[in-house]
Amino acid sequence: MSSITLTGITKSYDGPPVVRDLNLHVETGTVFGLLGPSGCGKTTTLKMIAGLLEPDAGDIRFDGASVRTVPPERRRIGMVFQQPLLFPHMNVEQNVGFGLRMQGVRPGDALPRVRECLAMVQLERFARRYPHQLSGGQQQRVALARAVVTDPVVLLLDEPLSNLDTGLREQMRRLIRQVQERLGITTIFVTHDQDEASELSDCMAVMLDGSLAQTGRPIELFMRPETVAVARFLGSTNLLSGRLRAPGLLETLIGPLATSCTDPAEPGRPVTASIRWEHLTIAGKPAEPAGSGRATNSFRAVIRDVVFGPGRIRYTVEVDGVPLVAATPIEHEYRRGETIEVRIAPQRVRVLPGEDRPD
Amino acid sequence: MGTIEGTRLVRTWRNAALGRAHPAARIFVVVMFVAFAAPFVPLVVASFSFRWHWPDLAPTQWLWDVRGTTPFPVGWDYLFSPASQLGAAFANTVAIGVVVAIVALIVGVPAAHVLARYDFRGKGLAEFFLLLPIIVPQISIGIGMLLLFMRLGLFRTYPGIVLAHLVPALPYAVRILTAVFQNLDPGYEEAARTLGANRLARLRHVTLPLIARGMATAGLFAFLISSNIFLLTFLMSGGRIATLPTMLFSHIESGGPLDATTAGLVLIVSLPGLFFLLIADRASELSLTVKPPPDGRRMESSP
Ligand SMILES: Nc1ncnc2c1ncn2[C@@H]1O[C@H](COP(=O)(O)OP(=O)(O)OP(=O)(O)O)[C@@H](O)[C@H]1O
Ligand SMILES: [Mg+2]
Repeated sequence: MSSITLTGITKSYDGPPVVRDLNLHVETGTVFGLLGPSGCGKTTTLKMIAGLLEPDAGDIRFDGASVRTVPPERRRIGMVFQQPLLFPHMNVEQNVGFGLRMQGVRPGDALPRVRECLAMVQLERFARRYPHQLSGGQQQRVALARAVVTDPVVLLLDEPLSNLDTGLREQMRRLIRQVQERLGITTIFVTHDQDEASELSDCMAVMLDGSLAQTGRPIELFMRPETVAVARFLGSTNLLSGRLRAPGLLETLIGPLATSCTDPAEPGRPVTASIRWEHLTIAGKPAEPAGSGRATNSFRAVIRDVVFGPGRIRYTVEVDGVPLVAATPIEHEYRRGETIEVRIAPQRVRVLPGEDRPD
Repeated sequence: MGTIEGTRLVRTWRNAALGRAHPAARIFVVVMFVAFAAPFVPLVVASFSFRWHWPDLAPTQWLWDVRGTTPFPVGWDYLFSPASQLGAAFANTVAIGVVVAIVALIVGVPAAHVLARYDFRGKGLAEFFLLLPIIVPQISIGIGMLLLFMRLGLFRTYPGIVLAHLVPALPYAVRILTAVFQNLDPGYEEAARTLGANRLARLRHVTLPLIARGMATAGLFAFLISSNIFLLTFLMSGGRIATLPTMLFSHIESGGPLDATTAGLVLIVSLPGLFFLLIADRASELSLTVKPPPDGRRMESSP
């Protein structure tokens, strides 16, 4: 097991760099989640760590020692690619045993270990099947078993769960966690899926446009995004452009908004308020007629849309013509068109520098 | 490519014959088959006829009517007699074809790999040279090579003929193999690499097994091209080494109406192609011995 350190990694294919000045550190034995939109350079980064691509600049170190001159076949990594890429002319057992065979282990000696890995992904019964006789999810599990069979020191997973349905996906997440904990492999895990990233990773990063926009524990990223871009990418939050009027008070599209966040202290600066969906609370029918002395951060709103989800109801409400989303526990149903009051606790208003410029 | 389509044709024909195809497809296949087979009918008839003059619909005299009365054997009797040297020509054709196919693969696989996977300076030129033997008439290539080979001592030798045959055969093989490599996901080799496979191990355990069918097609094509070449063999052999095509042309050359011997020879010359078409069909079926379960891919929803 070893730690992974990337410093100043830059890579371009033909045009402008797709990974630029990327720095990343993964502690020994932990899982690092790499979350980012399609095309931001996640696969490129993993392939550079694997040695399949050569960085244009920067260094990659395992346990402090540079591996830039070590070819992939000697880096002791296990990689699960975005597609399972099982060898079609080998059955499941042969696929899983391939890494051991390359190390010169005799098939008979390799078998117990192959069985063990297949058991880990719960596919013992499929040992004799060929890849085309497996479902997409089964193929991905074989790919995982194949990647860990040689006890690699680094495990690189490139969206290994992208082909699975929700149920299997959750099972597989647990499975990956189990496999990783049992083997203690330092793991980098690429995904589009935030739930997946937050469940699996000890530490995660949002990658935007070729570099890491923010790194931290999953909960930190969700609670304290540092830039509008990160907040927008992580989603489930309302972004309101505005200006800082005084410390602790914003002027936004929906009116004055109090915040306990005092970070950008200069008044007049363009800022964006980020209010997570679950922090926009619906406080029932407005008590008084419109306009008369409202409480702090309390707004009149009209319900525009109601969507039920597991464990919550998602309302789209309109405040002064601005659509906002509120996620509430399932306890009371408001109807479309109803006028209600929404409240935002000042400590829930996060202020981010710069304006929200959706692309 | 022709051979791939050919094997497919055989399989389609079989499916149609077994009644598995759509009626329209069956009609189409029957028409295709008739169009393909029709020219062979008069050939077969002619190969058994002694006298068959226009405008007679059928021969007026068959071979078996005159058997034993002619001063020397004719038709099939002649072809299968030692005097015809058919056996040697057949062996030459097959041996040269096999060697051409093997050399075309040995040279073609690495070349196609490079052409399909890498961009390099002069790639356009390389691709142009691959087209050249198809664009330039064989006679110009042949004469040029002849002058060269005479100097190199390759004239009238088997290696000389093999080299000459490679001129048209290799480009075809390279083109087929390039397409094969273009269809091969480089991810398999990358996956093998992360599993500790060095260059040689990747080639042996991953790349070659995955392109085996494409190689079979390319080799077959090279063989078929070689076994059909007349002009280059004729020039390079200096009349010393006979193959089926040169033997056939020397018969046609002697003029006169299509006699039974020539007709029989034409049929024999067509044999390698047909034979290998069937082999290819079987080979592609054999490589599919692992059939998916009948109810599709998802047998069990495990675990
Ligand atoms: N072989 C290549 N040649 C040229 N450009 C490439 C190549 N591979 C990737 N790119 C480009 O590099 C950028 C990053 O690609 P990459 O595959 O790393 O994205 P990703 O984050 O893994 O995306 P996804 O989530 O869709 O898999 C993309 O803009 C892509 O178009
Ligand atoms: Mg990717």
